[in-house]
Amino acid sequence: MATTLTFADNALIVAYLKGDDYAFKVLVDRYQDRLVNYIYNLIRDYDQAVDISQETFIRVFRHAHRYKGNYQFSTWIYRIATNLALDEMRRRKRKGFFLTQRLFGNSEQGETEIQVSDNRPSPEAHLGSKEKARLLRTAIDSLPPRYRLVFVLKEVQELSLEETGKVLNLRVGTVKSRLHRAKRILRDKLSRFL
Amino acid sequence: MNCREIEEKLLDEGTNVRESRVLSHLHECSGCRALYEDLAGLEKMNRSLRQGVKAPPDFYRRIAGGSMSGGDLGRLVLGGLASVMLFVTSGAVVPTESAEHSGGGERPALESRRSESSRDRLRNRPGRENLHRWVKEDQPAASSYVELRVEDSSGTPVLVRVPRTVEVRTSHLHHGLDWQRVSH
Repeated sequence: MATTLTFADNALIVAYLKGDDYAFKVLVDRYQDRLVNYIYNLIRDYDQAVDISQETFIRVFRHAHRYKGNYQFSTWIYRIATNLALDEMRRRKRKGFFLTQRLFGNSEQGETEIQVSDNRPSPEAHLGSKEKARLLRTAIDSLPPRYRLVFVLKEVQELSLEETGKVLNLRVGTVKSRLHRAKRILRDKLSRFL
Repeated sequence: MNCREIEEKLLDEGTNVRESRVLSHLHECSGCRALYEDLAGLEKMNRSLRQGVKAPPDFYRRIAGGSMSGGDLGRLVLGGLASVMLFVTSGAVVPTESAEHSGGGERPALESRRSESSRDRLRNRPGRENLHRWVKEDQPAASSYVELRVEDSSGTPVLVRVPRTVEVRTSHLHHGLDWQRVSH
């Protein structure tokens, strides 16, 4: 019977610090898709998401000696990625770059939303999953960053409430309230498509 | 439990909620049942976001390149390029922007798809100034080598096989090429 050995992230970091470059590769393999997906869901630019993910790994391994192991490796790497993604979001805001929010309006300022009162079954209710994913992405883009970050980490990346709090340096209660708010906003925006 | 408490519970736990008090309330209350169904729909949509986007195949190679020390790069250069140097330094090789975009493939190389800001960041990295990447995109993706068309000293075209990814300091071109990195 074949046995699969899975090394914990912390063990891989220790191995890397002792000179085992293969441990580096295992960690990259383990996290690369998750990070690219996470950042893509925040900034909606694939090339930038790949660049930021790579920068995250480079920082992780340059500063691996600083990792103390008293919290999860995933928390650390998500925190670095989040900070880099936030830098990019701020840079875009400064440059007047904004994501496509035509369908739902921009809730960044004043959180005004377009209300759709027609409850009749519509063609949108029969949209394919790809189209629904696109609509959800657009709706997530229109969330204020504080809600978007919590929602993507908890609901899309499936981190626990505690880990989401550690990544964002927030208390669990704050994570919960922001998550509730995000879900309410998304429910309102997507009511025709759910 | 009242509707407000049920709503909090549903927003916390979504469709994982198992408490019998909540379930019996959902059975009776159409408003809360609608919330439950909407949250179930949202969870389903969330699942579609988990799968679509993946890292590109050369993700690790590019990180390894970005984090390698000069000594590592030097060893790679010495090991991989000695023979290629003989060919190329004897000919005139001029990298052009069009070489980056010569591919007719469905998915252009990530290097050529970078945004301007990413390019700027890479250009500004110490030791990586003015790099040009030669990748002939119409080669099969699985191939580790590509063919470069160069000219020898008499001007005769020559095809040279080199590792798929080669980066060169253009500032030293024509007068002793300074190979920065080769990976294959």
